[in-house]
Amino acid sequence: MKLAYLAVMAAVLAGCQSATQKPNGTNNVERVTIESQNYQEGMHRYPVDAQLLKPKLSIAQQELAKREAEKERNRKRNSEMAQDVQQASKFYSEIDGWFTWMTDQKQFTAAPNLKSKPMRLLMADGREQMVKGLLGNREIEARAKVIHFGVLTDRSVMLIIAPIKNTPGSETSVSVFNEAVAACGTALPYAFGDIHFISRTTNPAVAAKQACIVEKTQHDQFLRVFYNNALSIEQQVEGAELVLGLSS
Amino acid sequence: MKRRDFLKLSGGSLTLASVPTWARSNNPNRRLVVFFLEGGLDGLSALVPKAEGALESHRESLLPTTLLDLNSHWALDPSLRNTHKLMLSQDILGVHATNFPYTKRSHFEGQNFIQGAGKAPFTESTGWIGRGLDLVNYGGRAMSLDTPLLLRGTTSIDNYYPAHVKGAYNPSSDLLRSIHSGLSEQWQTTNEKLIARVTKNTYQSNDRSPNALAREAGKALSQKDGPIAAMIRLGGYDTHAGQGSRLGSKLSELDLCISSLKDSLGEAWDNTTFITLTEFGRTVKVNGSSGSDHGYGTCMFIGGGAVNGGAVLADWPGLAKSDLFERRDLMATLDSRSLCAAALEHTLGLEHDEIAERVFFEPNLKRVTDRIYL
Repeated sequence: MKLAYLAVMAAVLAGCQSATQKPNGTNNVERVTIESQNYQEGMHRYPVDAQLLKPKLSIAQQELAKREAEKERNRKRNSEMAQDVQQASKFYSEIDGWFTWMTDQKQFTAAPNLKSKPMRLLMADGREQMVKGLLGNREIEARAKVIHFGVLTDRSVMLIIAPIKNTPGSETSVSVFNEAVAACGTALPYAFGDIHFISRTTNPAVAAKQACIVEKTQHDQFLRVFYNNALSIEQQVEGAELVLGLSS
Repeated sequence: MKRRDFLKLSGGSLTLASVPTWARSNNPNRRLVVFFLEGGLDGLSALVPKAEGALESHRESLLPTTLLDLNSHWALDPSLRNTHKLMLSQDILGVHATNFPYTKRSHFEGQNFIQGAGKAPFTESTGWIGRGLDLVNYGGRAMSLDTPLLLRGTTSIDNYYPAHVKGAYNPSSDLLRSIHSGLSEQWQTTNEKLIARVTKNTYQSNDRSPNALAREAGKALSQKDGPIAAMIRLGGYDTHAGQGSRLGSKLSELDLCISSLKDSLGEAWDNTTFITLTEFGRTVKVNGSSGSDHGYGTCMFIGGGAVNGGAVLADWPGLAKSDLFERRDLMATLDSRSLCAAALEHTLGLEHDEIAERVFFEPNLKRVTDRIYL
């Protein structure tokens, strides 16, 4: 009886062992031969279209090319900015807290330090201030935001000015500015000096255009928000009393 | 659990074959990475033969509405944006109508065969990269729960799994910390250095997404004495149903992995080759569930700084019914083993004939190294 039991167990175990050797249920190890594979005889190289192809560069070469492109961009930008600054200096000056802001025909001079408060910016000096002055022969009272990018560059200033005793919606340029800054998620939209003379609420498209004179980067989020808003506001507000000479 | 469920659940995993400095002799800076796409990649969707007239009639519903053009013959799935850029900058080569000579359409058999590269599935206990490492006498360490067959060799390979999940016990650093307070000030300083070293040398990553693993692999491979080979498993390519969006997201994942690998390798990218492998392609014709079933021929991507990219290599068989393998699958006309052999030849500095005979056991394996590398 014991012998019979052992014989049965041996047979079962032998069966299990052979079963484990069966890949995917088959006991035969089939040699894989695929006659249809011609391998490389017919291999053809289909190159990427020449107009799409870029030069193959090593990582070091890519880094170098990137640095050179950046240098060139900065050089061009600095050159353009220098011209803009030179041009801007003809139209704007701020001495002892007095704004003098000239256009082709008009001049606006603002009283110094009238209800001034710091803007608490992270990377620049800035103040928000009520200004009172003459625009041509017309008295004007306005809210101005003045930002000096002196920390980053000694030649940049952003002036946003919105007349507050004028037409309905006259503070719009300030609110658009705030919205644009908020969209950037940072106190300052630019890390590098730019000059903006944003002139009149009643024609924000002009202001946006002037902003674009200096900052050519249309992809910049600040400008995009500002510009889009400016265009829509332009359709709502009549008149463009002030056109700055900076507009190209 | 069914095999298909297992394949669906399989996430990514990273396995690195480390090499001790002393063991290196040839090409010490070259690296090899394998992205193993588990489930069977539909090569006709990833690298689309857009000039192929029969394509639309077979699978119009599987074709993406937009494609990333390469030339008049080929285009990439729109999910492969980074891959596209790297093809344009000549860092990636597409290879089509290729596979290992395996036609049985079984996931487990196919994966085993492609890693083991023997004469049939389940005949080898070592993998082709492992055998390559053996030939140059490189030892190794697999950093995974199991050493994947692909990297298994016979030369001093061991296994270590970096189980750094949150709160995981780290015996070495914990032991050093436990004795810290009892040491003299001078020894405490030494002990701090030891703890720092243990911590630094420990593989740490809680994020096991394939992208994070690719980044980890790149970092590790870029080290001077880092591993020489890595395998990253990406699951989920078994697209029997609803293939369009599913495959799109899987290809995006692969695309991100390739990009992350390149970024994390830094300058080591110039000395690294990556290849994609999958157990089989998929049927040419769309099935009833807006997907495709197990097939044969597929596509591969081979990339790296030394790769002569910016092109598609193929001996295109066509998609007419009579051109298909068993009248249903894309015919594989190029043996993927030749491409793997080229990667080994370049990375390890071995002779092709030796690789053909001793790694792939196929003395007549064609040499294509000159077609792949600059």
